[in-house]
Amino acid sequence: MMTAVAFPVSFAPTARRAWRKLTRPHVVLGLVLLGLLFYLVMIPLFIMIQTTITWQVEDQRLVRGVVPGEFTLFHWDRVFNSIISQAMLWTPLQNTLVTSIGISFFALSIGSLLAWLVVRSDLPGKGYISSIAIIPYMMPSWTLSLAWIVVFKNQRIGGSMGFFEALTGIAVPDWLSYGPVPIIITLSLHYYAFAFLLVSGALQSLDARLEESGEILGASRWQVLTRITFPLVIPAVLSAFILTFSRAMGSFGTPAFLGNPVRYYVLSTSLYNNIQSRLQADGFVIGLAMIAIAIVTIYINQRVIGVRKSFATLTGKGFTSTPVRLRAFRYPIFIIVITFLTIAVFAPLLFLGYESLMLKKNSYDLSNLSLHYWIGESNPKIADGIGGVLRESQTWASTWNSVALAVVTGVITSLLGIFLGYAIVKGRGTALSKFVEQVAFLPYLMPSIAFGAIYLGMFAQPMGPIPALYGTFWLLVLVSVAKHLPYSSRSGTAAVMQVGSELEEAAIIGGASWLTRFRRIIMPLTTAGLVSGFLLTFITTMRELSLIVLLVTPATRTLSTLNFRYSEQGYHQPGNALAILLIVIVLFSEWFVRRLRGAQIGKGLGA
Amino acid sequence: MHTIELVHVTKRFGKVVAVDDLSLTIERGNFLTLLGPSGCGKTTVLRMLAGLEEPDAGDILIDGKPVFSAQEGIFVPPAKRNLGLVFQSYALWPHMTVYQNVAFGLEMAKQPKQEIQQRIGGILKDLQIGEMGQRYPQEMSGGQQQRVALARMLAPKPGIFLLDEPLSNLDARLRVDMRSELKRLHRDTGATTLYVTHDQLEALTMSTHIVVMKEGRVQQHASPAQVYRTPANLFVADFIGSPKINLLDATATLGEGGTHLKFATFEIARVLTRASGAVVAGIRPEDIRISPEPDPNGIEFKVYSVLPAGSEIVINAHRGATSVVIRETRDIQLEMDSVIWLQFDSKKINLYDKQTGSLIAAAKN
Repeated sequence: MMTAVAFPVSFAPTARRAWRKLTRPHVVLGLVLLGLLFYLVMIPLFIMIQTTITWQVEDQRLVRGVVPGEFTLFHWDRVFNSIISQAMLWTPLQNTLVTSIGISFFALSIGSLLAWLVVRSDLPGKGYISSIAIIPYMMPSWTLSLAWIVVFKNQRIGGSMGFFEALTGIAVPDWLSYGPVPIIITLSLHYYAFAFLLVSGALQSLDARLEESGEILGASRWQVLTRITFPLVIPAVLSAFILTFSRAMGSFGTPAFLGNPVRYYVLSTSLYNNIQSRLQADGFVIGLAMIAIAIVTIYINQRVIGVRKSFATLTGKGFTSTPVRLRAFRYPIFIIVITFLTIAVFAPLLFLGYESLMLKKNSYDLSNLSLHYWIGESNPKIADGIGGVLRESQTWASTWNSVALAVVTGVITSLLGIFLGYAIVKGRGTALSKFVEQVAFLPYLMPSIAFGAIYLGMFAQPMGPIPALYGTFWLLVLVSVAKHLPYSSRSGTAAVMQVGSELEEAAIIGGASWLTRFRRIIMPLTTAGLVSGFLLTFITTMRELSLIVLLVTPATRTLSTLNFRYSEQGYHQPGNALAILLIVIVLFSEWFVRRLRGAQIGKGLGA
Repeated sequence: MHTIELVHVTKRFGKVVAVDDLSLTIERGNFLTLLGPSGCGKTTVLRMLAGLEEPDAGDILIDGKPVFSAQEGIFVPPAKRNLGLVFQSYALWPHMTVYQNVAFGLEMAKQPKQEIQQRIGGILKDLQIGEMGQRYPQEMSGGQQQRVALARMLAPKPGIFLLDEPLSNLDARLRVDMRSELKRLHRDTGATTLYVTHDQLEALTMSTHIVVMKEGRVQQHASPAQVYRTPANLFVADFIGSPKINLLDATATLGEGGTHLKFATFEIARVLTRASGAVVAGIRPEDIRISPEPDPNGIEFKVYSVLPAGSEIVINAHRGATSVVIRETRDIQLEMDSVIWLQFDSKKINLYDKQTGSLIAAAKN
């Protein structure tokens, strides 16, 4: 055997050892996943950057004699330093910061307060309140903006008057109808639920004995709250602030509905406009700017949390403690909370529902009510022939697309999450594990709308083994799976972490192969995590708009994008009917899965 | 029933050397306990033998055949080493019934269903959990879970038992009961057993051999009696025994009739072990005799604390800055702060080199 003298004698054993290390399941899995991540995340990011620094075919309209594909800083110069920079970048940037900070502030204040009341006080009906409070999180963020328009639109811009004006006769000023104020209000009413989930999680895992020790040492309830409880949950609160901020920054539907009519643009809508006007490279520069902001916020988050994360008390299991007595304020606070939830959760649905029943746009009279937009036959005289949504074959086609997309994405994502979790947890401490974890997190930083735009370009023609996917259902699946990677890898990591390594080692001793171990030990023991991950992905994919709005074609249209198209074109009634249909499907599925498996969306949140 | 050899085995985790050039032989059928404080590398040794960790250097042989060799690049997977393992946490699969847990290994070995059923029925019955096959581990007490873990190890009839602190999650009474059952199990099966624990009582009561480890190295490899009576160095002396051994600094001079030991506050003459220079004397608490009455041969001490424990009394006594612990099995009444006279058994004092900590001279037993 040993014919070559070039190798030292000890070469073969060393090679065998290295091979063994390389073929360990988590290494193989890590490498495979890294390849996948490279394909789904790194290449798109690379293409995005490359697009911004090369001449595009479209640029030939703007500049004479340029050769597409050659290097240029033209787009960066145009976005950052030209006559249109102000309109394209700086004003939207300023608007983005104003609205996002406003939204984060209000959402967090409301969410934290509510979380404390539900977790720590003796507020009546806490169970119901907390399940109602998270409903906005399950509704698409833009439904509230549609409801806002129903109520507060004015004749000058909205074309017809809204509920408010019809009832009171007072003309609604523009600043209340459209622009930053309604954007901040509606998105705060959506994102408070996110903050609520994060903060109540932190409060629940707070060891009550820490508070009780303070009490025994003579601190009053108020002192305990301000000197012990509050400092301990500050990291969670700050982290919630930053997560809310980065989400608010990337939101698209609401600023589009409420900002565009008054030319109030934020970065995401500016990006969309650029891409719609075929200025893709400019759009991508804005996208990169958004990524930069996201990186800065994440960096701040890690700096802030990194210092304070070491509160071991926050990782403990749930503790029960004596709830704080609200005494005389108990019922007043209860009434305030109920009123708030009514405004945030039920009122929007009610208004959307009412408008969907209005045959003519302007008349709020009861005689104008009709089920036409729900079940009516198509009539060319009404809404250009759009019939009742329950009759339109379009509705059912897009419902089917939505559900199929959400289910397929949910299944793939949660499975992928467990695989990612396995590779990350079992390889803990190795460079590969760290790399996989970091790359899987990247899509979090990329604005959905930009992500969609890259996939639009990337898969228009065949890519390696993948055929041209444009216009197919699978392109939507691919982009949704890629965008959900950060969440799935986090929830997968948490799920695998809960399975002690000895449980797998016991199976190794028993002689089980890796596949057997995965199938019979890891998978069954991570079911709860899998289901939570599925549920979260299902819900966010059902309501997804910005990610896929550029990628859908009439054949692959989903409920949310059909709704967007109706609303954009001014068909408010059928649009609202669709929004309600979508919400009903999401709420029902959430309830169904929860009943079935006892999973909670808070668990898959991975924040 | 195998012989196990570890030859110059080293294992590092990053920069930490968990096991440092360790060589160890376990003869067939022996019950060897690895004993040491947490972090001494004992569990790593067990895991390397199991095949769950790969050493960085050295060889591991079972019956003379290498199952691991760094030199030759040999690695035999755990399932082919004919061993069974009980984890400290038991690592019972919570989603499987007791029966499924125990059957797993046999299923992997593709044994016929009928045989599996018979085998498991027998084992569960032997371990007194015969009625619990259809339960889930969470529905059982800690002691019963422990038996399931044992059953799972026993089912494929391994020739080597690896037990990683199997009793540490049980309450004190159950632990004592299980000790005798494990000892019986070892005798009935005759399997070569490697037992890992930090509990010296488990080690002393169950094993045929004890290996005391510290920082990845073997401190002493001997029988339980030897480890107790003649600890090889101060670490072992200090680690073994409860209440702890008295370790007192002394200056030794060889004199008439034996060694003369001069302590800080008193002296002992005619110690049978021979040494000279700066030493540390190791005196077991039971080798000191108490007299409540003045004793011309005794040394006067003052009682600091009295801790009666039913069958024995542990007394802490002071003389100036010197403090000694005495174990007394007679039923005597002592008040705190009263004066007592102590006689040290000059035949049973071990002397250690103060510099190196290793045993200079052992008392004859």
